[in-house]
Amino acid sequence: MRHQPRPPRLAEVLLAASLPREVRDATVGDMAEAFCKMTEDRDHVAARYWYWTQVLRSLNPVFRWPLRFAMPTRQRRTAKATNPGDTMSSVIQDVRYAVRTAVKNPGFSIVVVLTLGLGIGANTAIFSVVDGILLRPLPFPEPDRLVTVWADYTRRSGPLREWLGYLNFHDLRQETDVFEDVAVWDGWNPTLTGIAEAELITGGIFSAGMFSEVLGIPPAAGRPFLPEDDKPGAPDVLLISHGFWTRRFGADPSVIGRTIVLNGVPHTVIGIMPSGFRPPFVPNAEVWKPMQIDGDSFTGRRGDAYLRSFGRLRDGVTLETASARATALANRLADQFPESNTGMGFAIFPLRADLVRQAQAPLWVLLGAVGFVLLIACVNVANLLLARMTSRQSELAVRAALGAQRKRLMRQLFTESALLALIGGAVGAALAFLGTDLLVAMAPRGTPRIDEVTVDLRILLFAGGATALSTFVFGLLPAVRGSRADLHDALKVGGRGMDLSARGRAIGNALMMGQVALALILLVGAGLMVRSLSALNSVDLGFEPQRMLTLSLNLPQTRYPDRAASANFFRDLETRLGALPGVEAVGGTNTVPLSGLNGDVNFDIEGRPIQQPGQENILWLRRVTPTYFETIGTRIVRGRAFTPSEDREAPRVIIVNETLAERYFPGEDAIGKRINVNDPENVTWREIVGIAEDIKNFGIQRVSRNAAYFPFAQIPTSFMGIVMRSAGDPTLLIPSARNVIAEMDPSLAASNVTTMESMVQTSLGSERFVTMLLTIFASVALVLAVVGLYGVVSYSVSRRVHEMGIRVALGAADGDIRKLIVGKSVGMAVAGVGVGVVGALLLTRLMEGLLFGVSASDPVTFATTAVLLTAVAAVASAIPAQRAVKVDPMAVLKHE
Amino acid sequence: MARGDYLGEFELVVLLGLARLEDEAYGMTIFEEIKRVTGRDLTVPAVYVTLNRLEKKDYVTSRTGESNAARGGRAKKYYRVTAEGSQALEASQEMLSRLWHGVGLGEAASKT
Repeated sequence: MRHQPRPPRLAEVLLAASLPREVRDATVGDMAEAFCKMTEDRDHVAARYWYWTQVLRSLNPVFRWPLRFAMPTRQRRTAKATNPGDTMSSVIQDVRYAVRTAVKNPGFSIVVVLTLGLGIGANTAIFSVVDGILLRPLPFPEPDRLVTVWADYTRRSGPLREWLGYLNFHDLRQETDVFEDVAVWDGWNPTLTGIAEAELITGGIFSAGMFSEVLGIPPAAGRPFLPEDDKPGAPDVLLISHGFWTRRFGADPSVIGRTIVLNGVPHTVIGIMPSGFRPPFVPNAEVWKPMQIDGDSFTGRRGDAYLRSFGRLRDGVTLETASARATALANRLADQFPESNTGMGFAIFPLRADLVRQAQAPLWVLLGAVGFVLLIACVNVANLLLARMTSRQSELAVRAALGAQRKRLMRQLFTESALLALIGGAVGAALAFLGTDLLVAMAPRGTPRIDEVTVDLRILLFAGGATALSTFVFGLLPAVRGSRADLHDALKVGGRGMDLSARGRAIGNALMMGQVALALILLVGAGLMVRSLSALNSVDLGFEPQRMLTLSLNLPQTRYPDRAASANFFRDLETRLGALPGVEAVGGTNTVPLSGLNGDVNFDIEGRPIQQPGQENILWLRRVTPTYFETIGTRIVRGRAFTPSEDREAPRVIIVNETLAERYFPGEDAIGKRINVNDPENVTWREIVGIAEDIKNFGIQRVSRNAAYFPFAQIPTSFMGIVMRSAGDPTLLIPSARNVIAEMDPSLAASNVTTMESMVQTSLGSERFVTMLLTIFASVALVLAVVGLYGVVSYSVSRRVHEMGIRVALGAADGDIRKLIVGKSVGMAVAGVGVGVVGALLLTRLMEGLLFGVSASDPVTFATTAVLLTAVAAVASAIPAQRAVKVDPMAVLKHE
Repeated sequence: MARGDYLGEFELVVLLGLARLEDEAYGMTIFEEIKRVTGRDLTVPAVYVTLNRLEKKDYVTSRTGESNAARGGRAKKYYRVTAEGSQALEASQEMLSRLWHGVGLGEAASKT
């Protein structure tokens, strides 16, 4: 049987709904038949067009049909003709009239629609971001039971959130009454070889139980890690991410069981994680392997803190209970192992709160800004509609006099408001989607959970509802407020020149001032953030980030088995890189500044009492090559840098930073003193040969800590970060640097290749993001306020045309008229600014945590924004003022 | 025929369209006939609704016909003018003729 073309479903449904029962089938059938015929004779498109036009055109008169029976018999006959007073067919009439009205006042309509659109769109976008990051639960089963576990060293003047040592973790894991499981993880950046070009992969090392028990996400294919995989010496297995599977294996299902070579070691793929799986804290990892450490065979020291941990609480166990249990354990461990565990506690936090900790304050500030902008938008719309009330009232009076019922008029206004609200809502929705995508794209790297952000429909509906409400309330006002007497008056005066009642005007002015106040608050907030950011940007970093390229290299142990091999390789590399054209200086270190890596160790000073467990001195340690300080631009304040001859054979030396020197050798010269680092058992006294200036490694706003540097050659590692200062654009060096590395060892791949300046910018990432967002908000608020002001003044002028004419006739000069109008607006703006300043002083106090180098009541910012807003108000009212000046008094008076 | 129950304009058009077709008159054919003869732009549903109204006044009767796949299984309704319908048509025609007679189309034409 031939497949018949079907008419458009929706049209068919509408058609059927509008027909009387007796002829419904026949009509729909006829139309379907005609549709088929037309599809054959002409084409599908023409047929659809014809069908739709038939249906739509027939709807008007046809809908009248069933409603006849609601009307008394006499009216039934007259209802055959189209009657303007006929309440039913007029729904479509209302819409047509509303469209005509809107089109006749394009400026007004566009302004209202844009205001609604901006208000709804901007707010939804920001709220969606805030929701995705702060409010939504994590995408794991029962996410409220997930916690982070840290070692708490605050009683030893250390950090609250320190990484765990393996054995401490292992003991905590035994507390199965409170924890369903606890797992640890470490970063892992292996080099993948054997497939075309070597590639450095981001990965993670998880202890068994992380996937299945803690996070609760099983692999999409294959199997998860089992306790057997986690034993030292077990066969090397691997779980891969969905993205990695698609990217490297083209989604080939036979990948399970295959072997891939990472860091020279073959690993068997045992499973593929589901698409969209993102473990907290290592969201970009593509491969995971088991930690393969066993509590029984662990040979490291209990206090070596190098692991991070998550856990899952047992169902029904509270955080307090778990923390209490952990504290009890910590105390027992401190008694058992005093050297490592004295003064150490466990710090347990809910995972979600910990994850977004740093994003919280700025996001709440932004949310506040969101609320303000929404308010401004609503007020704007209200004001515009209110201003139009005058002309509407006279028009409505005329129509009422001609016999229109009150209810009909209200419905007319309702339709107009609905039309505006609908279009504004559509614009807002489009802006919301666009805006959210834009914000996600612009968010700083490493913003937690940014990939979970999607447009939040709740807030779209809320914002849409709020603005629609405003539209309806103020749109209907003219009809609601007009009593018989008012309308009568309106007619008497001729319908023109009637001004808003005094109360109406007062409301309008109050709304205007409110808008200005809100806009000022936002502008002040943005201004403070801008100044804060600029202060951050000009902080002395302690090194010179300009024209500097950095990259990292990880030497696989299989080919570089001992320290000598690493040391030789890196020394060779430095020399070769230094020889490249365009390279002014090269240096190496094991942790590049601002890279987020650190290595805290204990130390003792010669001649001073050995610190007891629980009271050690802590410094942050780095290894650097001799040319490092010179390359990176960190000054040696006293003494000297390392020399090339200071290698493994030479006496041990060390350079300390100013903070350490001042804190531990106040008033004396630290040069020549000796320090032992890390191990009170195996003492190696190192002589201080230089004092370096402090650098901001942990973030530009953080306070300096004790730091010290070893010569890289004396304790080489298999990992080095290279810094190169370039004569010109540092990115131009990238290809030649990569070549040098490939020449030396083709299986190596450099990672984290970036310029120092972009790392600095990235570390300021969240401040920049917040500042940018606040600035956007403030601008939107400013635009809305200005537009609103313009609209209101404009309408006010057009209403006062009569009055202007009289003034001019009585001898008012152009300047007088202008002064009158602009003066009034500026007056209102100043009042609004005043209110705004008070509000801002109160509210910016909440922002204090975000500001750097500028106070929350910074007078410069306040003064600038106040002046700016007032000036803008003056300009906005200048244009309508100009129109008022052009009024021809004769033309106006004639209409008296 | 009851007094005052004159045919409305569109009812008249539809009834005439039906009357022109001997047999096999259903919505579509009536619609097409009117369109062909007058060039008037009308809709199929409007025709049907009018036919329904006329049926309620007993000016037409209907019978259910066959259906086919193109119609999605919906039966056709065939219409026929009744005796009362014919009378109504005649009455309308007479009334209109009287009104038309004496209308000076010549003067009307020169006024435009």
